Amino acid sequence: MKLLLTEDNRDLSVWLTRLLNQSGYAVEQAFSGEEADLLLRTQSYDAILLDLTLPMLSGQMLLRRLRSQGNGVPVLIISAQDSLQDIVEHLNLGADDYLAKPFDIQELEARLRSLLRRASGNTNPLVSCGNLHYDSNSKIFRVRDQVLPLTPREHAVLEALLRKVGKTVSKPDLADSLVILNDMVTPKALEVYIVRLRKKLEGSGVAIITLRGLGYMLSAIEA
Amino acid sequence: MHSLKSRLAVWVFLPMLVCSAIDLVVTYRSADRVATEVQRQLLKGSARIIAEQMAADGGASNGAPPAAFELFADENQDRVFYAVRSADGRLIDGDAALAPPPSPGLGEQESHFKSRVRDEPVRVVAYGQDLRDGGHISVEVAQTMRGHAALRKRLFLMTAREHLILLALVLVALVVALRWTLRPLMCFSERVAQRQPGSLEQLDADAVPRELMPVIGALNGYVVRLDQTLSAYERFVASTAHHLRTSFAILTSQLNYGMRDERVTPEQKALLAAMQNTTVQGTKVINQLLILASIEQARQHAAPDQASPCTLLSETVTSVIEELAPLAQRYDVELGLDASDDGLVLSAPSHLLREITFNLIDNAIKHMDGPGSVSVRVQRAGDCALLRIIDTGPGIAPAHLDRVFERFYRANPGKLNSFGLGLSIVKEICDSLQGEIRMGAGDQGKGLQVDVRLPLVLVECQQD
Repeated sequence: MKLLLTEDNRDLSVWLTRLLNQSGYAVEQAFSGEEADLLLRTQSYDAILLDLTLPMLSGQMLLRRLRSQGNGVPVLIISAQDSLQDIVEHLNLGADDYLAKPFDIQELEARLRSLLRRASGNTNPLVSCGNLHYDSNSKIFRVRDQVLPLTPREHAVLEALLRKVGKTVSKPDLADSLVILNDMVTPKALEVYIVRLRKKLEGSGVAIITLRGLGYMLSAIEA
Repeated sequence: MHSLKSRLAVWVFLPMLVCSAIDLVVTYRSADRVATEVQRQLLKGSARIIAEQMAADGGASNGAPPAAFELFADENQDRVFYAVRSADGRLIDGDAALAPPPSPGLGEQESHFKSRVRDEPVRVVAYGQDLRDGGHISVEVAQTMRGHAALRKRLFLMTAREHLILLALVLVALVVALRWTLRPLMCFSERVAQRQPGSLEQLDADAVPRELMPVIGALNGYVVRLDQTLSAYERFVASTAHHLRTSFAILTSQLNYGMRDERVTPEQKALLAAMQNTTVQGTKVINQLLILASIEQARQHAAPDQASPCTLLSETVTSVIEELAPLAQRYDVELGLDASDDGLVLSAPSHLLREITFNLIDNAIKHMDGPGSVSVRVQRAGDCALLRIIDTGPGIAPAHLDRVFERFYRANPGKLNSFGLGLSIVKEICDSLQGEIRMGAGDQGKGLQVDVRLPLVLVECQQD
């Protein structure tokens, strides 16, 4: 994967490049908008990391020029200005995502991965939350590459939760996810499945959190 | 402090009062003169009748003719005296109590003077009359002063009444005129008073009297300069924040890099993690300060008729609860939304509502000593949306309750990772949204209950 990092702060550029190299990305650095513009004329990249406050040619101008030329390369904006207005404005200009400085490398890499996945048009069958991964092709849950043994009902409940990871799923909605198994699920039974799932997820860094009045939510937690 | 109205009133009314007073003195004196003249004419008439009668009788004393006294109206019970004296001063007829004239005249001469008869002041008219036999008599007629005083009083009062009526008319006209002419000034001061605190709007110079233009000009000039100063300050804050964030970004990258290095020992890794945590805290403070600055900015540039964004409160609250769920899990705190009215629409940017909700719930979770629960309610309370957050934590001592909204105030200074900005941000957002926040003990005096009331949308607003 080849990335163009457009960042005028040389220190930050150097360190980000080292980090991204560590993760296996090939990174080319541009320190100004002009430089990035020149590189973009001759090279093609899988994604661009774009700082907004660049000397000469600003990030906004570069983005506008890029999009007007019909170049659809994924652009992730990394900026130190992060008012809500800025974010909306730049996403409207054609940026694909926005990350405010300072950011953690894990966050950056996660955003990059999803950006590249979307760009490749390939809906990755792999859904993840922390160490929990689900392959929707093979219909197998794994925790740190270890297969998680689940009953069909537990499987249905966990799948429903994982599809809305980070969001609550109300008890009625969760019960509905079991209907396909031709089951009438009482709230009590649902609680039993949740308790069993929690037991199986212990130590995985993933937890099912109860939010009173809202429902259940799957979330990565610090182990 | 002085009022323009009362000043103007005093300076119009006082001179009028002085003029009136002078005029009344003049009037009194002329009334006195008129009354004296009337009395003198009457006395003279009476004296002439007596003198002519005496002359006709050849100087004999036959008593004064009644006609001489019919002239005097009797309504004031004035007493009339008369005396007829010969040229050598001998009393021929009349009352001896009447003193002779100081200078007995010759011929048919008339003189008048004041005198006293039996201790009562009188006006006397002396009239000389030559007799046919060459002799000379002098007739004096005197009248007490009651009629004179009564006439003078009547004349004076008549004028005084006119003056009073005039003064009353002027006073009424003055009040009306002051109200009317000073109304633009009052309107202007009301307009200034009704401005939002901290507003940097220009004052409208339309429909304002010419005399106020310098004031408006000065105010607007001041506002422009203040705006420039504040804009410079905002630019400074923004660029400082930008530089700090970039530095923090470099630091974070370096720490990330270091932590991924396989040669790093666990001890070094722990140190790097601690440094990273510090960076995260520093970033948080920068962000909080930027939010405070943006609230201030929003307040200063708020145009009253600008369409505000529309936000569903329950949506914002739900997403904040979801966001904080892992934190609650980590602190062993049971978090829940106990009541949620899904129809409450607020005219406020969602990021500000998120900031309020996030800070309050985050606070409630982090200040819990050991396991507990945090309950959130979103409900309607009259014209307001009520966001109520109750926790079962240690609560806040009453001594701290007044001060927790101050910037950098911490009820518990020993607590790590807290800078005392969260609640002041909440308070300032509430103020900027015309809401109110109250804190107190929770159910049965335990824990903490925070009530935030925000006005519901009454007008159309823009979907965010």
